[in-house]
Amino acid sequence: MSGPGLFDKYDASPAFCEVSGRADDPEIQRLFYKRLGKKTRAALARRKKRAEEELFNLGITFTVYFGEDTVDRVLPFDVIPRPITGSDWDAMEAGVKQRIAALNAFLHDIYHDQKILKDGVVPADLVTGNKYFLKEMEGLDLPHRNYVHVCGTDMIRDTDGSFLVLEDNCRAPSGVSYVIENRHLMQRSFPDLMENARIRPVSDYGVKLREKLSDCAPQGVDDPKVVLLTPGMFNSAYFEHVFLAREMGVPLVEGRDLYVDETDQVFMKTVSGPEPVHVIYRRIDDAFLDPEAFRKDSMLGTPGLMRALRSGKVAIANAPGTGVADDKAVYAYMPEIVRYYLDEEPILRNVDTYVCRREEDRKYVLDHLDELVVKPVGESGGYGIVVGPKSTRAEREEVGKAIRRDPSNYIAQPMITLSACPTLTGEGVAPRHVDLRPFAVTGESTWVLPGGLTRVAMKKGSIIVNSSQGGGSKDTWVLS
Amino acid sequence: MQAKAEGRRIPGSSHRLLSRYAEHAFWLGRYVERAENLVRLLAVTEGFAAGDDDDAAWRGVLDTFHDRDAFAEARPKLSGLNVARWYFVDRSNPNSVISALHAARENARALRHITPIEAWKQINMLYGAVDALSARQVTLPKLSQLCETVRLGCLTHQGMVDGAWYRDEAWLFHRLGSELERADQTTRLLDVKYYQLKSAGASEDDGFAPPDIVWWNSLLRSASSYHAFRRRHALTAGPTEAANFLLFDADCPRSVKLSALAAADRLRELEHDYDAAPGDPLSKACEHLLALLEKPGGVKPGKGLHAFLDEVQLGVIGFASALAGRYFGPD
Repeated sequence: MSGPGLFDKYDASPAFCEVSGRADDPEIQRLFYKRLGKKTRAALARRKKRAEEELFNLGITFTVYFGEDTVDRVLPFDVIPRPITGSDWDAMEAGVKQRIAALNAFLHDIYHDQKILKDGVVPADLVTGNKYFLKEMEGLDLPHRNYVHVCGTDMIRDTDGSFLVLEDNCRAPSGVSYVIENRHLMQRSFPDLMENARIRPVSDYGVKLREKLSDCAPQGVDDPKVVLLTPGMFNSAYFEHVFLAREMGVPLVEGRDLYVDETDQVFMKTVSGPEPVHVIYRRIDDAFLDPEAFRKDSMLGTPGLMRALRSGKVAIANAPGTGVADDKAVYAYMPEIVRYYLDEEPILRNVDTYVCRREEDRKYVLDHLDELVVKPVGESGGYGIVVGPKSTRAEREEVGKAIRRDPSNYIAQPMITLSACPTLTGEGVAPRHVDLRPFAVTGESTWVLPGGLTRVAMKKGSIIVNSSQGGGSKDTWVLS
Repeated sequence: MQAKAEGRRIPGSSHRLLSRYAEHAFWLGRYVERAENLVRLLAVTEGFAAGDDDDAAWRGVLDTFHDRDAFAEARPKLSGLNVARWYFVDRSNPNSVISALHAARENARALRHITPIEAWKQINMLYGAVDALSARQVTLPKLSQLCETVRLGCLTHQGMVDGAWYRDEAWLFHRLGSELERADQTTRLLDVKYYQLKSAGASEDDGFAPPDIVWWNSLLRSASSYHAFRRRHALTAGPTEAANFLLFDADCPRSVKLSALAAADRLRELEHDYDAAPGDPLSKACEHLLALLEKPGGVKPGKGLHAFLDEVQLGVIGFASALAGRYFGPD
C-alpha cells in the first residue's frame, strides 16, 4: 500500500493500530504513507531532539522530586502524530457530551434529593460515605446545574477499534497545555508534513474555556472577572496553570492574593486596590481550598471561599465535591447513571469493571488475578496498579490480601489490548500503546476540544502511559 | 491633554495587576540589572588589576558590596581568581551573578503568564548557561568573555522587555526595578576607585584623587558611556568630569540622574494610567532622590564623592522601600 519507507516493516497486531487500522482513509494515506513515510529515521530523530530541546528551553516541564532535589523534565515528545478520522471523532464527541450531562445531573441529584440513591441504582454509602462527598455542597444550587466545568475523559481503543472510557477526570484534569503546545511544536518541526493537511485547530481552547467559565458567573454580573487559582510555582503542573491563564488572558492567582470580605464577596489584591472576582478556575484540591471550611492548616487557599460560593457571590470550577463522580467505583455505575438521568443508551462503553465491594465480583477478581488489572480506587497517576498477566505470584498474593482487607478500595478490569500508534523508538518506527484524553468545557453547553492528549507508553509492550511512569505524548490530529 | 483620564488603560474585562506580580516584575527588573552591572564591574576590575595577586584591586570590589567578612568566611585566600569565582558562580554568595540570575529566573517564572514567551525562554536559557559553568571553568583569562556573555544576555532581556512586553503595569514595575537597581549599581561602580585607593593605604584626605585618567576611561567604557562622554566633553576632561557624567548627565543611559528621572516617570504613569497613585511617602522618597541629584557644581572624586554616593544609595533604598510599602503588601 505504500512505497519503501518508514512504515514498511511496521506491524501493530494484535493491537488496533491508529494509523494502519484506518488506512482506508485517504487523508491518513496521504499524510502518513505518502509524506511521513518517505522521511528517514535519522531526520525524524533530529527533529525529535530539536523539539525536546525547545520544550526544555521554553520551560515546558514538569517537576520530579527525588527527596530534597527537584529536577525539571520534559515530557518525552514523539514526532509521529496520532490521527483520528472525522467520523470516529464525531461519534466520540457525542459520547463525551452525553457522559458529562449525566455526570452533572448525578452530582446535582446527590447534593439535593438523592433520588438515584433512594431508587437503589447506585449504592448510597458509595456516595455519602465517599471521602470526596462534601456536606457543604448539599442543597446548593449552581448556575446551569454545572459541577464539571472542565472534564478530561480517559479513553482507550479496543482491538476492534471501538472507544472505551477508562476513567472520568472531574476534578482538575491536566494535560491540555500539552495538546496545544504539541501542536505548536509539530507546526514548527514539520511544516512540510502539515501543509494543506485538514487538521482541526486546537488553538482556541483558552477562549472557549473563558467563555464557558464566564457562563457560570453569578447572576447580574455582566462583565465577570475570571481568575485561575494555582497552588503556586512549586506545583508539578505549574506550567499548565501559566499556560491556561495566558491563553484565557486572566490573572493567575494564589490563595494569598485573594480575600473574602464580610459580605462574602471575593476580591483580589491589586496595585490599584481591591478588585472583585466572580469566577475561580481552581487547580487546587477541595481540602486546601478554604481553611475556614476544610483543612485549617492549609496555606494554599483563601479563607471564606465556601462562604462566598454558598452566597452565590462566586463560581468555583470545578465545583467542590465533584470528586465523588470520578471515583473509580462510581465509574462502574456510569452506564446506569446515563440511562437513569438521560433516558438514553450510553454512546461510549465502559471497560467491564468488577467492584470488589460486591461479593460476587470480589470472588471473581480473587479467582482471576492473573487475568485482570487491579486498581486502587483512591489513587491516580498509575500508582498501585497491578497488571495481572504481567505480575509475579508475590505481587498477586499481596494485592489479593489488600483486596480482602479493604475490598471497597479496589476495582478490577479485564486487560484490554490498548490500541497502538507508530512511534519513533530506538529500533525504528514501532507500535507503542496509546490512550486519549479529550478535554471538554461546559458552561451553558459543552464544547469538546478536537484533539485531546495522546499519551504513549514509550516502553515496548507497556500499557502504562502516565507521565509519572515514563510515558510520553504525541500530537493528536482530528481530521475533517 | 485630556487623554489620560482615570482608568484609561482599563477596558471592561481586563484586570488590574496583582500586587504580588508587581513585586515579581520589580525584582525581575532589579536582578537582571544587578547581574549586568556585576559583570561590568568584574570586567573592569579584571582589566585593570595587575594580575591575580593585585589585592587592592580585588578587595575594592568586596568593599563596594560590603562583602569583605562574608568573603573571608567563604574563601580562605584573597586572590583575583577567588573573588571572580565568588562573584560569578558561587551560590552561597547572594551577590553573585548566578544568584542574581537564579532570582531573576524565579521571578520570571512567577510572571510567565503575563510576560512575552520569548522573554521567559531567554532568561531561562541565560540562567541555564551560567548554571552549567563549574567553578573551574571560571578563570581570569576567560573572565571577560564570560562577563560579555552575561552582559549581552541581560541586554537582550532588556531589549525584549522594551520590544515585546505589553506596556502594562507589570512593565512599569519591571522598569522601576531596573532603574532603581541601575542607579544603585552605577554609584557602586563609581565607588570602586575610592575603596581601591583606601585599601591600598592611601590617605583619606578629602579631595584625594590621583588623575588616573586611564582607569576612568575604562570605567566609562564599562558603563558603555565612553564615546558619549567624548562627544560631550573636551579631550582634556578628567576624573571629575567622568564621575559627574555618570552621575548627573540626564542623557546618559546609565547615569544615576536619568535612572531617577525615568523611575519618577513610571510612577506618574501608574497614577495617570492605572489609577494607582504613589501616595505621600513614596512621592516624598522620589522627590528626595531627585533633589539629591540637583547638584549645580557637581562633585569631585575623592572622599567627597564617596560620601555623596552613600547618600544617593540611601536615597535609592528609601525609594524602594516606600515603593514596596505602597504597592507590594496591601492588606
